[in-house]
Amino acid sequence: MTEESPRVPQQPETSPHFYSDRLKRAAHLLFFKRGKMPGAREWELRTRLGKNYEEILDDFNKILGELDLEVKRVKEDISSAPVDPISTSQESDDRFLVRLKNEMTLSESRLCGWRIDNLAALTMTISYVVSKQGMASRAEVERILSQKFGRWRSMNLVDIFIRTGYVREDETGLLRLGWRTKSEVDLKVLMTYLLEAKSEQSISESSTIDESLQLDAQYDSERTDT
Amino acid sequence: MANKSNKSNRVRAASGRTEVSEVLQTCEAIQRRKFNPFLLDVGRSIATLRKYFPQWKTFTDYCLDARTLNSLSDVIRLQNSQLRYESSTLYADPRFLSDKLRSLPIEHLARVFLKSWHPIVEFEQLAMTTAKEALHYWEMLLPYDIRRKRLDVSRALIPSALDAESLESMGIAAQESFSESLEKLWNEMKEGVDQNGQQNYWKFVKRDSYEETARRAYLVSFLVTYGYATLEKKDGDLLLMPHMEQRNLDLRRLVSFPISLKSRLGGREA
Repeated sequence: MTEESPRVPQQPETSPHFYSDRLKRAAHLLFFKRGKMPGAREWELRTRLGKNYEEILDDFNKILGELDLEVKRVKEDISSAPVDPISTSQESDDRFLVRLKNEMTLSESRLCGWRIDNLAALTMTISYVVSKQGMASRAEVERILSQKFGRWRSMNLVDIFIRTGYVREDETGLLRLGWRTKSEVDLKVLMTYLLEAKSEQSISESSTIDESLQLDAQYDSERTDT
Repeated sequence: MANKSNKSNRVRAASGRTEVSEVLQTCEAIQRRKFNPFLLDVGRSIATLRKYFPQWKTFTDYCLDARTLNSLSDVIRLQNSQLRYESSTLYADPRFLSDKLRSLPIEHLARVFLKSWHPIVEFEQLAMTTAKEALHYWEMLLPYDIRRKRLDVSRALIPSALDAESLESMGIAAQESFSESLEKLWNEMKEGVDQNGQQNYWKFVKRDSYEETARRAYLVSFLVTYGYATLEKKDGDLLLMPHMEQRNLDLRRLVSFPISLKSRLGGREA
């Protein structure tokens, strides 16, 4: 008996891509977290990839698109960025990140380590801060959360959201939207879906009215039959 | 005469300080997002500043005036941003939104978030910055006792025994059993019928308090279901016909008949 060596599928010969090495470098820069925040700053990309870094990112974005990912450019929050009084540079220093392109399902979010409760609490926190023009007192947010999650848990949840960068708290106890919300959440979509959502009460009320009308009609017809 | 005018000037300055301080406090509250910026009448506030400006003599007074003016300009800026925000697609009234958030179930809220959420892809690795951040977190974490104080949890009372009377007054225990209550109400129904052996449902059920009416309606529903009485709808009226003895009912022919107390009594619904 002779053992046949496993057949390796022949890969089509591809012409070496001009950006291949740079694409890899771009992937490393965008995927691996080096500092406090993920992604890479514009100046880092320019230094490591060259002047035409935007073209490389476009190519990289096309590859990522097939995996339901995308490169997202996030404007640096001027108020949160440290002011350098010496620097005279007027150039923008945006951050580039890789994020999910489309929606995530509820079961997928659980696999990512997110509890449904935490996602719901995050929705409440972000939408309330947005409704207060991007600034709401922590006490108010905790009060709203406590109606669903209890007082102790709501305090912990707000701490988690601050730690993960979804909101930030200033010294006066005001919560503002954090860098992660700006990078990950489409606020217009969130607010639209939230305002369109039908409350539990209105659903149950309409169903009870329908049921009572049906029962009433049934009762009347049975009485006339007898 | 001069003394008198000096005194009146001092009084005016003092009342001016109070008024201007109030304006300043309102401005600061608006800046802290406690009130809607349009709650403050800016024109009137500026008129107040103008009115008392000639009274200021000291450096502190001028500082108060300047701070108030500065805060008023911030309020105008907030009014401007409020108008721009209200005309944007993100606008939602905070009170309406908080009501909505309260009424939506948790899963629904999570689903809404997932529709707008595009999480970042990142590979975590232990770097000097993250290690420092972790160390800083543990160093800054307050002991549990201190964190607990924010909750204002008072010490629990020592457990004590409750007697039957206390339980009755708290509504936990009833004075009579459920079957006794049913029997009592059945007898009352039988005594109150007219020559046709029937009586009006609402006349029988309705009492002064909402709780008592709801309790009687609840008990009547049991009497009808168990065959101690019949409920009929005649000419828009609901009539109760008590039986002298319990009747065996054909369970297949039983129908549910919802009766809303809200329509009769208003306010709460049974």
